[in-house]
Amino acid sequence: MPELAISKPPSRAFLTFRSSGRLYGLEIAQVREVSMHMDFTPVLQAPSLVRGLANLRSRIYLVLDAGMALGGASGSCTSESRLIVLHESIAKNLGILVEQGGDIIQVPIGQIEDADHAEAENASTQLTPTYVVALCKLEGDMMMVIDPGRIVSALETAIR
Amino acid sequence: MIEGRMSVESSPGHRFIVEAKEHLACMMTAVMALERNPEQRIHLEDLLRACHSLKGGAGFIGLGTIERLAHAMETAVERIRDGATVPTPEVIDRLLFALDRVNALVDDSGHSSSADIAEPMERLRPILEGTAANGITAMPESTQKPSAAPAQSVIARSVAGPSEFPISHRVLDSFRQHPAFLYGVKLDWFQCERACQLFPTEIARRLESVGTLLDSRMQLSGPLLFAGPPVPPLWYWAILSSQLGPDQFAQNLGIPCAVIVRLESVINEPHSEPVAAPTPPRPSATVGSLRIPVALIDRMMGLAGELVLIRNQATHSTDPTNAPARQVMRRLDSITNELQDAALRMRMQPVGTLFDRFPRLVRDLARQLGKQIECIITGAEVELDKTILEMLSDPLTHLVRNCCDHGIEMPDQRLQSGKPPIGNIRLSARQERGQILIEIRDDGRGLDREAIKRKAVQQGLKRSDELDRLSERQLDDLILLSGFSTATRVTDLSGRGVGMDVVRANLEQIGGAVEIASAQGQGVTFSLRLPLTLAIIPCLLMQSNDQRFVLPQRDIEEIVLLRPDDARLRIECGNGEEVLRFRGRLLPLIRLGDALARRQPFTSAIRAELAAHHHAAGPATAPLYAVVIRAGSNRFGLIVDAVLGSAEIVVKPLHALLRPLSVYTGATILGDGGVALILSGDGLARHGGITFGLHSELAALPETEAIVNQTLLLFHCGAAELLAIPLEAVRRVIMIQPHRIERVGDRELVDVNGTTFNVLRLERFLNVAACPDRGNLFLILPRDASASVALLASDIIDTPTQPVNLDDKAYQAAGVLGTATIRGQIAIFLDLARLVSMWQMSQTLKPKALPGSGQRILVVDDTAFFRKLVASCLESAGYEVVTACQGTEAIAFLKRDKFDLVVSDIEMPEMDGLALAQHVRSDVGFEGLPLMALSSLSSEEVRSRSLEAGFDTHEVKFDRDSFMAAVQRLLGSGRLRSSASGDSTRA
Repeated sequence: MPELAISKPPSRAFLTFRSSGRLYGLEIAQVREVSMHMDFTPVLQAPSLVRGLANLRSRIYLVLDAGMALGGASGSCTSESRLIVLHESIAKNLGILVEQGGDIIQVPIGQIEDADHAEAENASTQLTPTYVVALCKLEGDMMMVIDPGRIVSALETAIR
Repeated sequence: MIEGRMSVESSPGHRFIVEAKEHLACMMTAVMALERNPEQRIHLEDLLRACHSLKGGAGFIGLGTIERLAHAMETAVERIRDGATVPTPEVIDRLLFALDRVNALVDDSGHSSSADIAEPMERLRPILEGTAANGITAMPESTQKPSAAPAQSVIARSVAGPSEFPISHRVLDSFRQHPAFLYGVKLDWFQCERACQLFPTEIARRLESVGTLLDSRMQLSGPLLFAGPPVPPLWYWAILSSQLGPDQFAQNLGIPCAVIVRLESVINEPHSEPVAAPTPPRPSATVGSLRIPVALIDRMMGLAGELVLIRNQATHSTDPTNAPARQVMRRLDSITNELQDAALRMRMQPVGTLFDRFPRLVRDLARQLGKQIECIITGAEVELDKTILEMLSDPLTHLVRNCCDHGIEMPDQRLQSGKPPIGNIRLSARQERGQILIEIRDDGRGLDREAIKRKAVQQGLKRSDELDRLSERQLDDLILLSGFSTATRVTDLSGRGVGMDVVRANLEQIGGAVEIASAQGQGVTFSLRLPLTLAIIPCLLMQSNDQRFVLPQRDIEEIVLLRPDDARLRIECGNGEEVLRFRGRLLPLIRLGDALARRQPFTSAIRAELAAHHHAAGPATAPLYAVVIRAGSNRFGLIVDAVLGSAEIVVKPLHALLRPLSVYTGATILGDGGVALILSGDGLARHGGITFGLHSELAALPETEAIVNQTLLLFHCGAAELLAIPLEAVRRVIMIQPHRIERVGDRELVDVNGTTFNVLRLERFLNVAACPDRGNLFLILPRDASASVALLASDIIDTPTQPVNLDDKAYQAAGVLGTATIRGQIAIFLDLARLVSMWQMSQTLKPKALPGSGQRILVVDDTAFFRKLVASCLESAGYEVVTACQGTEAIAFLKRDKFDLVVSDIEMPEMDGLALAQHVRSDVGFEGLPLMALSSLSSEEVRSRSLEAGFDTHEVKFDRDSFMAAVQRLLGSGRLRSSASGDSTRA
């Protein structure tokens, strides 16, 4: 049997994290780095979505709170918390603070389902902003893939 | 990384532009120098070399048009060098015209091959043929004959009048190169001749004299010329660029039947198609320099800043006993500082890049105005931050134009007033006290103060009685007010309406200031003070609700410490809002914590609610700080929990997503690595809903703080600080040689004419520079002769008599009375008596028993200076002191608190000392309260009047010993009485 035939099925890589117990994923291309920096200067007057400003290697980053964005409460900073710095193509100098950082996982394309499609039928979810763009069925768990761009737009609306 | 970025800009075309620009700048300088010194061959050589290089470069990459024009210029310069042509102003004009054209072609080198260079070639021709030397003054061929090449392509048309003047690429290029006024002139040759007696040659001459003819067109109404002489009307349209303002242009042209239209607006209209490549930024003048993206430099600044932090951490973790490690740390320290300095310097550019354009501007203006002006530049090598340099361009251009237009007189007028016919405009730059000082000085007629007065009244800026009270300098400053624009003083800059007020506004925006000094008949000097860089700005670091914020120092006027007592007295509720009583005015007040807690801008309802809330909460237990902030011409107070000090910060822009939060202007990284937000004074005022108008009446109240004239001894002690002592406190000043100071144990002694003095070195008690031990030194002997102590100073500067507005809050330290601005510089006012007693304490020489054991004294004086002096004197004797500005305030204090003694001045606004004493004596509850009058007046009449009014004693200011004795006497007797009255009220 020729070896080429067992090439892996196409898959996509996600950086996972947990917030309020639920599993989320970010497309790996959207992430620049993951940091353990947990010192934030609060920005008073800004919407609750904004966690604060952080100094990473003398660059000032705006840090959003994933807990607040995803409907839960603001998460406290623990040893498991991580600051996910987004790639410049998503937003400049922007990071997301997550309650609990996770691993990078590969998900076969077949297991990824477009969330917008599924949600469109569910009118009740229209009331709250949704950042989930896809759902991945994993073994014993469900991962929601979020679009950080939508969080940024939500902030733009909220801050006006 | 650098190579990667550089390669983008390294195409041959780009390299050519950079090089060509350098050659052109060099040619410009050489042509200007040639005009001034036609004899100096060196300029010709420079010019030839640059022409030649330019020609070669253009030829190499196939830019034939530029090559041809450069070749023609080279030949023309050779003719001058060979003596075939004399470089008269006309010849220089021709060269400059060609030079401008080459410049435009280089900017748009992509389209240069199709450009039309007939006109510059035509203008150079007389030089090449040697006919220019024979005194051809105008170019009849080119102006009188109908323009051979009409606009090749019409790219901009206006709707109304200017539509008759189509503007070609050529005109546009030239205009962009040398922004000026652009005029369209339309006339009928026949009408001019018949109605105005102006013949074509005269009209051509006038057109030439008022500006540069960029384009022209003629239209015959009748049959073509070969069919016979033309029939009226014979229309002629000309487009001219000129440095002259509209009125002057029309006046100098002097053709009544011509129609003049301004065309700048046509050019400034947006175009549907890109017309020409945008002018690339001017490359640095030094050949062989690298072009580095600003972003990269900023990144380097950031990294250098980070290195500083790491250095700090490393210093902390280094064992101080480990000598080798300490040495490494010292190296790291110095290199880090140098690196940061170098990174800063990379943003700097020589002022020369900006100054270079002015000789040309002055020359053109002078020729058009018929004046003779020389532009002299010094300090072109002084460096300034790039951003500041860019912001400076418009204000400087305006000021130079102003000097040419209005400052320098016509040559005959100058001769009449005994001046040389050639006027001077001097541009200079130098570094002074960490700032850059740029001066524009002319030797013209000076400002016309009568005209300024007339205009100020006309514009309703000032009433004539107000004007009479202004000093000459204040009068001159009026021209900086917005709304002050006179036809005689201010012209537009290229139709953009830049007036003197805009000059000031532009400068203030970058943290600079402008000063005017004018001497009638001798000229005007405009002095611009600028910060070295915008990247690092001095800021005040403060705290509110445990969070740190910074506010640029330039927005801050003063900082007021509000102790719990002060806060209660000074923060008032008026009109349902909190206001701060400050120097006799009421300032609107915002609490930083409140302002940042709400996203919604404050309404008056919210302000009232907050005021009520704070009022109900009662006075704070901890001291507060009120930062007095300037917002435009208004001021307001910002209450913060603590002022942590000042810091030099590197400004980082606010994150784009946070821009809607107008209370912040940016962010910065502090020394410990934390991030702090930079507050915006304007933003806070707007967010806090401050309505300055409401308090304008209150603000117009006269200051209750009297500012009195005082004679001061100004001196230096070491390099930095300017120090001041009231002359009354000084007995005499003696010059000594350092070697005369003798060390005895841990003391330093000097023998002066048989008397031995202990030397008091200021740096031991205050954080000031140390006095150097070389050159001549000075000993300042205090009036209080009981102690044989003298203060050591390195320089005595002056003993001016002037009003002193003492600020006792900004700099607080034992031995310091406060600070005040003397001659534009902050001077530290020393409390000499206090310093002497501090010295005595340090020497444990007769340790003074403190007589006052926490007794409270209320000091009432309208002069901050005396208030502070008296309070300090009492405080050092161990008394607790509260101060009030005048009688009513004192009574308010007396009603709230218990005092053991009141020391009051007599002459005060609102309620004077006599009224205060009468009030106290007639009021129940104050029985037995000792009152002391302390006045500079000592006549028997005054004395008896104050005793009559109810004072227990009348003492004279400055007599410290008898004052202190009187205080002890009064308190000795008063204590019994006041405590007795206290018992009776309690019973």
